[in-house]
Amino acid sequence: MISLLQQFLTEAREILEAVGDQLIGLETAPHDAARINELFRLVHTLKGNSGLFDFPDLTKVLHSAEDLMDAVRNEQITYTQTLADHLLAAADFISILLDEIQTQGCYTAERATEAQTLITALRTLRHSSDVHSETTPPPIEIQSGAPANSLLSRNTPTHQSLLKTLAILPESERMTYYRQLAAGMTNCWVRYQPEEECFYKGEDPFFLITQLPTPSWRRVSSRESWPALFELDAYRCNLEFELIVTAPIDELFEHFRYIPEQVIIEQIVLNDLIWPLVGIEKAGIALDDFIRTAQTRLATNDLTGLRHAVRTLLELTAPESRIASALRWLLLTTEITPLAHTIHHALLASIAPSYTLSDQNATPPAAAINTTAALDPLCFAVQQDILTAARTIAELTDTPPHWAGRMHALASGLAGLFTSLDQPTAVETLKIALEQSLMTGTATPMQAWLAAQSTSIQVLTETITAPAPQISPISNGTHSLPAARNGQHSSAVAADDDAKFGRRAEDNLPAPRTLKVDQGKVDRLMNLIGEMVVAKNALPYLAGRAENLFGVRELAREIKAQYAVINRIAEDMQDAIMQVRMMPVSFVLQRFPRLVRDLARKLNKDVQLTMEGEDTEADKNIIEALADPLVHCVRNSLDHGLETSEQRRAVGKSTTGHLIIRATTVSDRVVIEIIDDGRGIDAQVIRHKAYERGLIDEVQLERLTDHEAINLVFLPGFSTAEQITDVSGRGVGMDVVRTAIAKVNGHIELTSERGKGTRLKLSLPLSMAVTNVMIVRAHERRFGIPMDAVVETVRVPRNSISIVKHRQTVVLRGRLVPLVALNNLLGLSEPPHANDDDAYATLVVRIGNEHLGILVDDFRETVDIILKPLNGILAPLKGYAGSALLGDGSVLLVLDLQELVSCSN
Amino acid sequence: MKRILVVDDAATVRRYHRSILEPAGYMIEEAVNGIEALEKVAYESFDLYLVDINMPKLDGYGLLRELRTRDMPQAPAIMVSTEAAGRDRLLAYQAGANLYIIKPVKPDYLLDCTAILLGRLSQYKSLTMIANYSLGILH
Repeated sequence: MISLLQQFLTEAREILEAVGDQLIGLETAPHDAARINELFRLVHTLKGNSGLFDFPDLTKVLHSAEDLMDAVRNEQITYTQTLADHLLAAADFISILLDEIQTQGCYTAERATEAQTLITALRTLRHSSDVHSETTPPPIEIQSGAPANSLLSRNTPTHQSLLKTLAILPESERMTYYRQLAAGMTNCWVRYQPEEECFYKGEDPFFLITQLPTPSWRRVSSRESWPALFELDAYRCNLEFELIVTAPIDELFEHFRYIPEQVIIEQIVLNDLIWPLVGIEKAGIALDDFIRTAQTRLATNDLTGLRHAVRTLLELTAPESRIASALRWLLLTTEITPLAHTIHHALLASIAPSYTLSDQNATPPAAAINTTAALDPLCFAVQQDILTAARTIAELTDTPPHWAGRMHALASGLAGLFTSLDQPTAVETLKIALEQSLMTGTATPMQAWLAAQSTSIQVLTETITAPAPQISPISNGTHSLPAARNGQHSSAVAADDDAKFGRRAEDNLPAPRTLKVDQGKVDRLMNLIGEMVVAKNALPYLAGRAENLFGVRELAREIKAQYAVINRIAEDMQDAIMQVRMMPVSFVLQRFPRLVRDLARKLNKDVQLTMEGEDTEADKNIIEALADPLVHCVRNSLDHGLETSEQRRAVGKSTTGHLIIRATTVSDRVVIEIIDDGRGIDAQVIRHKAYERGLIDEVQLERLTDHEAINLVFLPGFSTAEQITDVSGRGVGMDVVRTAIAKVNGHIELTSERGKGTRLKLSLPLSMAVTNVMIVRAHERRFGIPMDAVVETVRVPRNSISIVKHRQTVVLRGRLVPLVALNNLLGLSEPPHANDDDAYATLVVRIGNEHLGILVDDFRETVDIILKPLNGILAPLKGYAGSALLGDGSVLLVLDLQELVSCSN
Repeated sequence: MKRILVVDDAATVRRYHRSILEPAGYMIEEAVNGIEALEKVAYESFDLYLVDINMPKLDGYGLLRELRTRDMPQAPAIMVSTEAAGRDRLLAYQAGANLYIIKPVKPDYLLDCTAILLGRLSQYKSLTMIANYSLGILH
């Protein structure tokens, strides 16, 4: 049973990690509401958890961060880079506190001052909400005491919330409100978010709402998405009420006087109601004449004439089009508010984006006209464009050979469109329509499908404007607005609701069912399985003994049969335990977005990181062994590889440097590539540095190819950085990287093109648990050599060996391979044995990036073994990777060739 | 990551499209004409094609017609043209394009087109845009 504190620390780390992910994610999509909400939720959870313990500074920092995120979430302030920096700083600070709590049980007293600094910073950000809109006063919230004049406080986040709500109301309802407002009635929008603990404070939010004058529209939704039923805290209020009430604003303030901080009240003004105009883009009419007429009549204030022109055009216009909607509004506004020239002009402008105001007499605010070209959201226009195109395509009458492919393509584009509109049902019916079309060989089913979408185009556009789900309109006597929507829509909504009620809350559980197990337990299981794998290898020997020694062939056969079964099971078990230990490389990669961001900022470089294949899996040990080398490589790329924006621009590259980290599985190895498009490595510079440092001689200086020269950076102590930076240290790292990678039987490859970039390729085995070794003989002893290192086995005739620079060498496949006898490496005095044909058994192995031929007495079989490191008094022995138990019970020593070769040098 | 094949004989155009799309998280492959595009398509799959009309060797129409006869998942295609002429538009649709857009393409427009055709646009984006544009016009 772990302690609550331990539980808290574990979870807190997980949350912090997720917070980091979200923050990094927001870097690229700072307006991603889902992320902002998720971030808020995470911080909120963590704050809640920390409250269980007596860590006041921790809680306070989290509280300020939560407040800040709440403000961002409610769009009172915008998410900025500065804000992200502070939140990241706070996350780091909390992480430090957690570490200290973990090791010491509490954090050091000095942390309190640091906490205070952070809190101040976060609070300052929280209250800098007016930077959001410089010219407009802060949003009206009631804490100011006296009701503010809402007409003065437009363009606030509060007002945006109001507009979002209004946007989901049908046009006809908004028109009704427009009439009411014009007639002098006051309509207010109220959003009431009861406190979470309100039930403990004797408040009754629902009662409070019902005590209001009858609202003309209201809805109840949840503030944040509902948790699964078993996690639901029924005593925590998660409701949000929204209403439109016909009542003076003062009266409403009075009504909510005890809980002003939980309520936002905004008076609806005429302008709020008109936008957005919704409908399909294409109206199928020529507008030029109308615009000209309308413009003149508006300028001369001939509203009757204008209305006449509008009516005529309206008859010709498809009623579901956006232009028709604008025309209807024009009709209404000219009738009810004949003096609202600004509105008339803006509406006219929205009908024809090319419309410019020629008449200076009626001067609406310049801003209104300048922005009208973009009145309709661009993506709306794109959606309409795609739909229009789709209709044209569906109505094509030709039947070329690629007709079916064209249909498929049409459907895939439409599937994209309706997926982007979050209409999975439409996507489903689309598939059916496509199949029918393909089967019948006519476009009719597709046309019908498109037509069906067009008739419900209002639904479609409403869907775009409708906020996230979780809305359950409460039916409300005579004034129920939702009921006023067209039949098709409300029935669709009803069907949807039914579907929701038919499911249990548990159905919505996020699916992955995982079990957290201490790694020690998995390791123990793996060791046991390993022992069993070895133990089962004794059975063939036993069978051999039964046959040869005791002469019972029948028994021997049965043992062999049984062995086959056990062998299969053992292999499956091994496979299964491997799967358990496998983890995605994202485990190490996830830290990179943050690392790259921080480094890039520090180095003042513009870097875009792309990560691919994060779900590539490998054994936990391998993944863990990768972490530090990878960090080192990425740092090197950022520090030495990628240039600053100015430098890049100077050489004609895009100003943003690109860094790609790509993980792939190639047969039984995982390959990680770190690719940058930076300045690359100058082989000449490397050559000279290596020469200066005495790492190569003059001959090599001349002879080394560029590729070989570049790989000199892996030599110990090599550094070319002209100045030492605190990012990648002294550049001593590449040999460390290679050593670390070699330790897990991996190798590393560096290619670089000057001016174009550098590619570092790390290749590692997927798993280390079972090692495949080749058994070789040397001086009557058996040794294992890991197969990872073995390139090939050849028999080298004695007479083809020549002496080059005092070393035995042989030419293999046009390549000069130095030879060395294993006996020499092991310090045995015996010369290697040649076979009857006077040829030496030679194992060609890869050491670093070099090939080396090792002369042995003979090759034997390859076996899978569980490699155990040497321990006890054998531990300091160099040159051995470890030992393994063979099936016959004997011990095999496995060589670490790299170490062995470097020892003997 | 969604992969987009940009087919255009003009290096500048390819680079322009890349500069818009790549930061938005797409993986971009380039081809300089229809033939090269078909070679790429033979061993790689793409989620979207962005195709110029006038190209040497095999033009955009020819490329699309060929693509649409192939037995493979039919990814949406955007035809990019300098001509606003209606005839080209119809030809593009006949060849198998999903959308016909005019050069120079505005970055926002291109991003919206790709996002929508790939089913990526979130509701939230539409919503905030409506709010912003509504605000923009009268305030």
